[in-house]
Amino acid sequence: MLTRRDFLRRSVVVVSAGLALPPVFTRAVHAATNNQGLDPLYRDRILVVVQMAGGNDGLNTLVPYGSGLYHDARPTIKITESDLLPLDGHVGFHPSLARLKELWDEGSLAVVQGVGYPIPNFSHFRSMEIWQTGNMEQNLTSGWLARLFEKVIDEEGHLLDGVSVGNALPLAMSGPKADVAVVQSLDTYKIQGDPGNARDTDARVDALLKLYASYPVKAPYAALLDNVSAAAHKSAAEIQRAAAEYKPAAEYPKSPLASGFKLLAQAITQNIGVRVCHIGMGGFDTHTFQPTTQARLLKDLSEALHAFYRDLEGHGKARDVLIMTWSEFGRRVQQNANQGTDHGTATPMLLLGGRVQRGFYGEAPSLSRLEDGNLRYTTDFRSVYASVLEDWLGAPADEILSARFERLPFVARATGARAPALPVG
Amino acid sequence: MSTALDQRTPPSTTASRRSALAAGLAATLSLLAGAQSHAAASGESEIPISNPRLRIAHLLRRAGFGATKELLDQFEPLGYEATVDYLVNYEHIEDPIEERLAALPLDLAKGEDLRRWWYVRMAHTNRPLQEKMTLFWHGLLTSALSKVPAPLMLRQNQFLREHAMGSFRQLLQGISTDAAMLIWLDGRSNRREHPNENYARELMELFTMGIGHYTEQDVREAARAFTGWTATREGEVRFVPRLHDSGVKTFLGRTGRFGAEEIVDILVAQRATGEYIGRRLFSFFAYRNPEREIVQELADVYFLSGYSIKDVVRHILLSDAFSSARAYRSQVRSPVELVISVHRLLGLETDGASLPYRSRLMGQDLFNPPNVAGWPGGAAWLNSSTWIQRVNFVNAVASQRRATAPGYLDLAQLVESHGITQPQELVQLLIDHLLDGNLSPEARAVVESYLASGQTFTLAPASLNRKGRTLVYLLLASPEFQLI
Repeated sequence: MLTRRDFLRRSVVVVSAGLALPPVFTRAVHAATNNQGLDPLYRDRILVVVQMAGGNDGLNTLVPYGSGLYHDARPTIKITESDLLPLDGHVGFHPSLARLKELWDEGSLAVVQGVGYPIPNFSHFRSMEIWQTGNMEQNLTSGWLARLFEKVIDEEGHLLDGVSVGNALPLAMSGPKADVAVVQSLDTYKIQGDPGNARDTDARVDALLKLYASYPVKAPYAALLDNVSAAAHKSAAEIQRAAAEYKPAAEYPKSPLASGFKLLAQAITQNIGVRVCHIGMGGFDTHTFQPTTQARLLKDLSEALHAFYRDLEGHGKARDVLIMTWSEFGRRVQQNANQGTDHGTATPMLLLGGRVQRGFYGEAPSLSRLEDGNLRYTTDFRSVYASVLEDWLGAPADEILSARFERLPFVARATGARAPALPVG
Repeated sequence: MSTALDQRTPPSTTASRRSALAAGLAATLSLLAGAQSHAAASGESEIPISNPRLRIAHLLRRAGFGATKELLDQFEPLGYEATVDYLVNYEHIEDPIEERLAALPLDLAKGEDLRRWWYVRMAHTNRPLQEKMTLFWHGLLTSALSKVPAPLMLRQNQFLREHAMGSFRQLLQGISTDAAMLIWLDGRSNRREHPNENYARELMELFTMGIGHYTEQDVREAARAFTGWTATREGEVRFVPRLHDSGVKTFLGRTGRFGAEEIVDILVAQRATGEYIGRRLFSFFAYRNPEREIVQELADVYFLSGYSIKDVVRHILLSDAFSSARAYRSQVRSPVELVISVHRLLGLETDGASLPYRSRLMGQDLFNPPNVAGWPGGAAWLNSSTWIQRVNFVNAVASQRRATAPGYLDLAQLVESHGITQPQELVQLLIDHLLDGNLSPEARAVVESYLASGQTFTLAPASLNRKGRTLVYLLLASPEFQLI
C-alpha cells in the first residue's frame, strides 16, 4: 500500500523532472493504490473559498430595498433604489457589484441569505474561528477544510491538498497533516540557488530535502517541518511551471486581490493538481465612513471575481470550479453615529460557478424580528459547508462537520457514478 | 584578533567585558544565594541538559539570540547561574549600541527605518536579554504601525525597553496611557457619553488575566474608568476631566470612583494576572503549556517580589524545567530570532537594510503585529511560503561573497583564526557551534555525502567559496536550525 508520504516523495521526482503530468499521474496512482478516495465524478472539481475579513455589512451588499425598516435603520448610509442593482422585487446588489450582477443574469451565481449560527459571537477572532473550524464548542481545533483533506483528498493522490494565497495558512486549512502551498507572490515563491555554486544547484536542494526527511519523527514539529518542506519544494516547481505556461483568457484589474485570483487561475488552468483554494481580502470592519470603504472593497471583489470567472471559462474550467465567499459576521441593523456600522450577525454568502443553480437560498432575515438590534440568522453556515462538501466535492459532510445540516441545492447533486456529464441546473 | 565567529566580542574589550561582568556579578551576589533552592523547587521530573556548555548555549539562545563561539567560551567557566545573573542584570553591562545606531542614516519617523533601527540593536547590543524582553512585550502589549504613527511606536518601544525587567505594575500603568496604545485600542474615542470598550477588554483578555476571569460588566465598568485619557497622532497625551466618567464603578468585586490607575492596580493584584504573566513568560522562554505547579510557583514569585518581572524571569531561567529535555529545541525560531541569531552566532555585521523585508516575507513584520493578540508563533511560523523565505534568507547570507556587503561571512578568516587544517574540522566546528554538535548520524551523512560528491571539498579558497558556503547554507537551513 502506497502511503501518502511515499506518494509525496514520488511526486517530488516527477516535478523535478519538469513533466506536466499531475492529473493523469494522480489518477494512475489512485487506480494503482485502489483506495477509496472520492467518486471519480467529483475528482476534478475544485473549491475556491474567498474570505471577506472584518465582517461584511450584508444589508448594504444584498439590499432589502423593498423594506421601509431598512431605510429607517440606515438614514445616511443606505443604498438608494436608484443606485442599486435589483435582483428581484425585494432585494438588489450594491452598485459596486455590477460585474457580479452580470454573472447573476447569466445564471452562474447563487445567494444564500441570512447566514450565521446560534449564539452569535461578536469578536472577530472567535467568530472567524467558529467559521473556520465549523464548530462552536471549541472541541474541534482543526479547520473544516483540513478535515476534508484528511478524510478524502489525502486519499486521492493529488499533488497538493490546497493552495492558499497569502502569507499565513488559514485556520480553515490548518490541521496536523494539511499539505497546502501558501503562496504570497509568484516572484518570491521559489527556492533560490547559489549563483556562485551553480553546478551544485540540484545537489544542494537534494541534500536539504534529505535533511528534512531524516529529521527524527518524534521531535517537536518534525511532521510539520517535513510536510512544509515537501509541499514547498514540489509546489514551487509546479507553480512556476504553471505561471510560465499560462495565458490569461481575461483581463484582470490591478489589485492585490486580482493578482491573487490570477495566481489561483494559473494553478487551476494548468492542472497542477489541487482541490481547494483559499484567498482573502480584509477591511470590511466598517465602524466609520462605511459607504466609501465598502464600495471600494466590493468593487475590487466583484471585478476580480468576474475576471477570474471569465478566465476559467476561457480555459474550459468554469464547470469544474465552485467559488464560495464568507465573512465572520454581518453588521448591526441600525447604523452608528460615525457613518458606519458595528459588529452584527447574519450576512449573505455568494456561490459562483458553471454548475451553480442561480437563485436565492435560505430565507431573507427579518428586519422586524431583531435580537438586541441584530438580525436573527436563518441559515446555518454549516448548511452551506455541508452542501459544498457533499454535493460539490462528494465528501462525507456529516462526518467532517460532526453533525447533520440541511442541504441547499445550489449545485445540482451528481447522480450516477459514471455519468458522462451533468445537466446544468 | 577577532574572527568572523568572534566579532560579537566588542573590540579591545576583553577587559571592559570582564569588568562589566564583575560589576554584574557583584550587584547580584546576594540574589545568587537563592539560586539553588529556586532550581530545586521546580520540575524535578525532567532531566536538565546535562552538558554544561550546551546548557549555557541553550540559555544564550533563549535569553538572547545566541552568541559567538568566543563568548560562549567566556561564559562556560563562569558557570550557569552566574551567566544567568550576568544576563538578567544587564543594566551593569556597558553597551555602545547607541553610538552605532547614531552613525546610521535613519529617519525614525519612517516605519522601515524604525524597523532597521531595532534589527541593528538586536544584532549588536551587549544586552541581548533586554532586547529579547522588549520583543516579548511588543508581542504581548501590542500596538502596530498599521494604525499608529512611527514616532509613537518608537516611544512605546523605548518605554517597553526601559521597563522590560521592572515592575509589571509600572509597565502596565505606563502602557495604559501610552500614546500609541491610546490610538491602537481606541482610547481616544473612549468618552463618558460613548465609552469604547476596546482597551478595557484587551487589557483583561490579553494583557493581564486571560478570558474567563471577568464579566462583560467588568469590561464596561473598566471602560468607564479609562474615559478621558486621549492622545493626538502627534503624541500628545492628555487627561480631559470633562470626558471622564467620575461616577462609581464596580470592578472585579470592588466599588469606588475608579480611574485608570485604580483599575490597573486592581488588575495587577489579581492572582489570575500573576498566573497569566508567569505562563506567558515561561512559554516564551521555555515551552508552551507549562505544568500547573510551574505556573503557581511563578505567580508566587510575582507576588512575593512585588510584581518584579526580573525575579520571574530569573526564576524561569534557573528552573530545571527551563533546562529540561522538554524545553530543548522545542520552539520554532521566530523570523526575528532567525535573522538575528544568524548574525550573532556567526558574528556578522549588519546595517539592518534588508532585514525588515526578509523577516516580513517570513511572516513577521516588526512593529506591525497582525492583530492585538500579537504573533501566534509556534506552528504558525511554518508554512510552504515562510519556509521558502527562511531558506532563501540563509541562502542570501551564505552565498554573499562581497566582503563589503552587510552580513558578509568571511570563511577563509574563520578557517585561519581557528587553526583549521582539515575540511573535516571546519564541518565539525560549524556543526558544534550552529547546532550544538547535535545532529543525527543520518543528517551528518547527508552533509558529508554532499561534500564528498563531485569535486572534493578542500580548504582552498575556490572550494571554500563553493562547497564551504553550501555547507553553511545546509546547516542554517536545516530543520534543527529552525528550532531553538
